[in-house]
Formats: sequence, structure tokens, C-alpha cells
Amino acid sequence: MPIIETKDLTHVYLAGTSYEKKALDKVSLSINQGEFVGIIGGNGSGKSTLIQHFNGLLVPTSGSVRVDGKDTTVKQYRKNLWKKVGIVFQFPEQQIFKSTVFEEVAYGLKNMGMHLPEIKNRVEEILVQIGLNPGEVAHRSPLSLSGGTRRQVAIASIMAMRPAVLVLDEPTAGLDSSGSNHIMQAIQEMQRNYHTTVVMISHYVSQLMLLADKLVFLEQGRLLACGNQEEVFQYITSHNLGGLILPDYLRLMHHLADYGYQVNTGVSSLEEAAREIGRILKESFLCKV
Amino acid sequence: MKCSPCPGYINEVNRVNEKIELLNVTKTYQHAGSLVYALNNINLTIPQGQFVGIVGMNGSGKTTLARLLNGLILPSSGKVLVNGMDTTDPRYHKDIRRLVGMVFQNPDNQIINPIVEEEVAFGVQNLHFSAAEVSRRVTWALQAVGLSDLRHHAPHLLSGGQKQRLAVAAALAMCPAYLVLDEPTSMLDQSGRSELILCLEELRREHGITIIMISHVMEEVARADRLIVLYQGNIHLDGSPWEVFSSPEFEHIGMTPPPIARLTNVLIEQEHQIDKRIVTFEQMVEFLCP
Repeated sequence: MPIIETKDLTHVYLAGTSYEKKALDKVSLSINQGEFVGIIGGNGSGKSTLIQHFNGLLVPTSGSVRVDGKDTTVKQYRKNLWKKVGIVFQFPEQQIFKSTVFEEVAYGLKNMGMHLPEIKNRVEEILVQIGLNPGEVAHRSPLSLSGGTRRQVAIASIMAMRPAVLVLDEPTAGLDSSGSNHIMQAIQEMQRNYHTTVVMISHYVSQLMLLADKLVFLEQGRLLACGNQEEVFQYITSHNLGGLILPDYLRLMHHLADYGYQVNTGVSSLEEAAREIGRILKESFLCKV
Repeated sequence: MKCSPCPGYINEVNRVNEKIELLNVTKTYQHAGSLVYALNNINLTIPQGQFVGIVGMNGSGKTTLARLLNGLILPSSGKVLVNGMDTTDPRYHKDIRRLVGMVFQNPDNQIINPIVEEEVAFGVQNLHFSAAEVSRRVTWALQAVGLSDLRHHAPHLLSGGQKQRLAVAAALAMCPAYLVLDEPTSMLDQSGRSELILCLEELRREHGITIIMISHVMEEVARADRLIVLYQGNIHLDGSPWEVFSSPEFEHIGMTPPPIARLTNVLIEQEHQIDKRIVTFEQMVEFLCP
């Protein structure tokens, strides 16, 4: 049974006003327990609206969303969904409100009714996992940390609750490579250790390519493609949407193929791309000789 | 996207010897009773008209540097001079802030008006320009960032990327000589991103506006004239993007060059005939598909 299932999910903001906007249009998808799902699409495609349905922050204008088999329109169920589905929003560091890192990460755990000794262990464990030194940061004010470290703290405070589904909206936007590596490693570790379902929105498609079992491609509120990488990229290139979201190496190969070179348009790594271009360079060198 | 000239702008910037200078600038913060050096004795000159990328790990001092450039924060020691005007002198604050436009990491923190065009007009109105001039600048700035169609919309209904472009438009309407952008594209998708970068490049090319852009996205700063790498409050590297990306020091401090620059580096290691200065997608395409 899928852990999240949407059926003809439609969401209209400000219905009946002149600002009425259909953000999601009949989106049907299912996400299985333990899967890593990447959501891709341009700005305004409905990605952020979609994920807010996963823990009942939004309810469908029409259609349905079932989490763990139950409909999110049931108020009593929706109220407790935060324990099951943890959402890390864009720029989560801005939601930090406690005066120390420890209290911030412990906040959700306290609300879950956990006892202090257990909370302490959990906080320490998650801080280490996200790449921070608890002894160094736990007692500090989040305001005294750099933006990237604050982001790590904010993400840790959701991960500490060990939700069955971890939803992240652009978790690494604006981070340096070390900060984003720490975060991505922590997410993978959590997925591995607790069979956590991960749903991640990212503009960095190359990052998702390495991790996601399944990709969901949205445009203007509609689900245009859903499946494994090949299927989704196939759709994107055949509909000429490549310039929008394909990673550089793949985009380069498509460009070279259009130009008339015989290249493999399915490359995904630096080495593969270098091999293809190395061959082109050698061939054109031979031609000149 | 076509960026047309900012009205009334050209006469103001065609003066000679215009630059931002940092002379022995140190910025310290107090933390838990001890002194933290955010920037440590920085010397830097940014002449008018350059496109400068600033990169570095989180906590390396990038945002501190950006905020020093228009006097939002003042150096603990040393001097910041904008066209010769010292940022510590309150008499110059108004001029400096008009000359140096800022766009911050998160547009939600700087958008204050309920309608898109009002947001763009806000700064200009405060300079007491005529209604016609305000309207002209608003039209131009919105066009420059591709938001003309959303002129009468409410900012909170825009998507993240659109909001970011709105923040850029509001800065542009002031016709700054320097535009300082602190990760302006971190929430944009690839098409929004390249649209914005193309626009910034055009602003620089056509109107000589200096672009100073902080970014973690190496593909973006690869297009700059000059790349400055901050590391622990110091300028660690300063040169053209290809020089910086091919320097072993760059990876040594934990940075990763953009995909195309890495591709070029690998091809050079394999002794292929390729121009070592290729760091952007466009350059690679031009080289391979002349």
C-alpha cells in the first residue's frame, strides 16, 4: 500500500476572487514507503502546494489525498499528521524561534511527549548526523550561527522526530557544497536506517538524479511525467523542455547531438561526458590531419 | 529579454575614476565574550563596470562583505570608499545607498508593498521624482526582470522566483551604479536563473552597471569577469573564473568548480586539445560547435 496517494488532486487558491489561481490540476500519484521521490518543475509549477497536502496543511479543493491509507480531510486525523509527515520548508532557518540550538531541536520532541533524557540523546544524535558538533553548538543561540549552520539546525529539528515521511522543499538552496553534502548525507542515512520515505523538491536536478528512485515532473499545476529517471528525462527531451531543467552534462550532449555529433545522450556523470567529448575532440583532430 | 536604458541614468555614471575600494577592512563581531573576525584586513578595489562574483563557504564573510559595500554595516577598522565617499561619514549615506543597490538572499524580507508596481516604485518615489518618471522607471525595471505582466498583482501571490525578480526590479528602479546581489537566484529555476543573469550581464554591458554577485551556484559566477573567493574572512583567490576554477587551492578549501569547468579540467588532464578557459555551457558549445 502506498504511504501517500493523491487522486485527481486539485487545489485552487482564492477561489471566487479575481486572484483565483489553480495551483494543482488533477494530480494523481502514489509514493511507496521507503521511496526517495524527487519533485521537479519550474517556479510556479505547483511543487510547494503539492507537498503541503502531504501533511494536511492544505486540503484539496477537489480530489483526494490519502496518507497511510487515510483521507486528510478527516480533521482528527489531519491534526496529528505532523508526527507522521515532517515538512522542511524553503529557508527553514527563518522559522527558528528558540533561544538555543538544543531547545530548537528539542521542541518537536517535547510536543511528542518524549522525556528529557531521551530528548537529550535524540538531539545529540541528530546534530552529529547533520554534521554539527553538539558540544559546540547545542548551547549556542541560533542567531550566532552562519546561515548554512542555521539551516542544518532547522532540518535537524524535523529529522529528530523521525517522521515516516520526510518532505523537503529545496533543502540545499543557497548552501555551499559542504553544507549541502552534510544535509544530503543525513537524509540518506535516515532513509537507510529507518526506511523513511523522502520527498524532495529541488532545482538541482543533478542532485536528485543520483538519489531519487522516482521523479515527478510538474508544470503549471499538472503532473506531466512520473517514473524513473529515464522515463521522465525521455518525456522532458521529447517535449523539448530540456533547457529548463536538465543538468549541464545532459543538456550539452543533447546540444551536440542536435549539432550532428554522434554522442550518447544518456550520460549522467562527469566521466561519461568527458569520454564523449574526448572522442569528439579526437575525431575532429583526425579530420584536420 | 531586452533591458532598455534606465532613464536618467547614463549621465550620472559616466564620471571617471569610479570604484568601490576597501582599504584594510576588518569586521569583527562579539560572540560569547570573544572576538570573531568575519573579515580580516581585506584590501579590494572594484572598478565601475565589472561583473564580479563572490564565492566562499557559508561563514566565510561573503554577506558581511556585501553589507559593508553600501554602509549597512561599518568596518571595525579600515575604510570602505564608494566613489571616494567614506561609508562611515553620515553625510554620504544617502548618496551611497542610492549608488549601491542591494538585493538580499530572501525576497520576503525586503518586499513590503501590497502591489508589485508599488514595490518597484517605492524607492524612486522617496527620491521625489515626478510621477511620469516614476512610472517610466517602474515599467523599465519590471520589463528588465520579465515581470511586466504581473505589474498589478500582489507580491505574496508570486512564486519564489518571481518574488526574487521583483526584489531585483525594485533595486534596479533606483538606477544604481553598483548592484550588489546576495544569492539572488537561490530560489529560481534554471530558466529564471539564466534570464536574470542575462539581464544582469546586459545591464553591465549596455549601461556600465557594476554587478557584484554572491552565489553558491558556480555556473552563474563562471560568467563573471572576475571571481573572488573568500575563505575564513580573507580573500583567498582573486582572478578570472577559469584561473580560479583551475587552481588546486580552490578545491583544496572544499569548493567545487562548475560542471563545465570540471569537464574542461578532466579533458586537459587527458591531454585533449581544448581551450583551458572554457568554464560555461555557452563557451563549451561555441568551442565544439563553431
